[in-house]
Amino acid sequence: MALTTTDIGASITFSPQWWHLISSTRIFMASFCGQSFGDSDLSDRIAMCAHELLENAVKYSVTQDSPVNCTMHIQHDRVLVTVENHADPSHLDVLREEFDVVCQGDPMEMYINKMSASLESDKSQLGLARIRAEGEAELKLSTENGIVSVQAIFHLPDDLKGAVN
Amino acid sequence: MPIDIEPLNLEKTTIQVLNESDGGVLLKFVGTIDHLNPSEFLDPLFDKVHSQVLEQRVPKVEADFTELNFLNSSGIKSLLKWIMRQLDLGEDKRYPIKIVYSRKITWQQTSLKAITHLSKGAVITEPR
Repeated sequence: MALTTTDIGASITFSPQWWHLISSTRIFMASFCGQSFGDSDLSDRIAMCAHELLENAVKYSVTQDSPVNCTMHIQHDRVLVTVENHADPSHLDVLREEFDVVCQGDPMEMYINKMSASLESDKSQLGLARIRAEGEAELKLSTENGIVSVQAIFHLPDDLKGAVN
Repeated sequence: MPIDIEPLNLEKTTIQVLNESDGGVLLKFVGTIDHLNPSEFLDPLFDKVHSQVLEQRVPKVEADFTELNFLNSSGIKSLLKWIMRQLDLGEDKRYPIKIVYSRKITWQQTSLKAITHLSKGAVITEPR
């Protein structure tokens, strides 16, 4: 989701080779949201989600030359964090299946279930469940022409609605 | 005999394993863990802690996360693996682990709570 000149938010695009830019993005997002909302819990949750989504996007990019984008979009009553990458086609079905599982039921219960399952796997596969449970975010997945877009949606509490716009 | 594990000093992360005066062991985590493969340094460290704690019959272990600002999900898995090894031990061999966490650091409230839930009593938590 691209930002327009009248939107409030931030966007960064980088090569998957630059792993350290994931933490730079997380730190920037935390600072931006902290300054915008004055709520460290909300800013930590948004920053953590950006980090986890970017880790997945970088790990599963189709090549090291295909850029990864992270956009934060602040709206009146919610914050959207969208991460896009050119995903390895073989990973797309795995991601869809993972999404279907992770987005079911109580977020904390699912996170605990995924933790338990991760002990039997080589990979952690905790990121999406963590975003729902710890980030308290809603997740959406879309794909188009090989580009995968994962969006985390944070609904703002009443006292923060319109705080930035 | 005290346990002897070299501190881990990475660019953004320090982990110290300290012998306490009461016979216990303290693992002190400082900084952030957001590496591509944190298991490369966390798993060997936790292996050493686990084996030396068992060999030396250390009565208790405290893991202090209050100065660890971020732990990515791969790091969470390494921590989880260490803690869950308790459940493979006979009850007479288990060593109690106390996780000390910060009320001010968001990730610790949720993820450490989830790990504690899975550990079925092998871990207790203390907020600071």
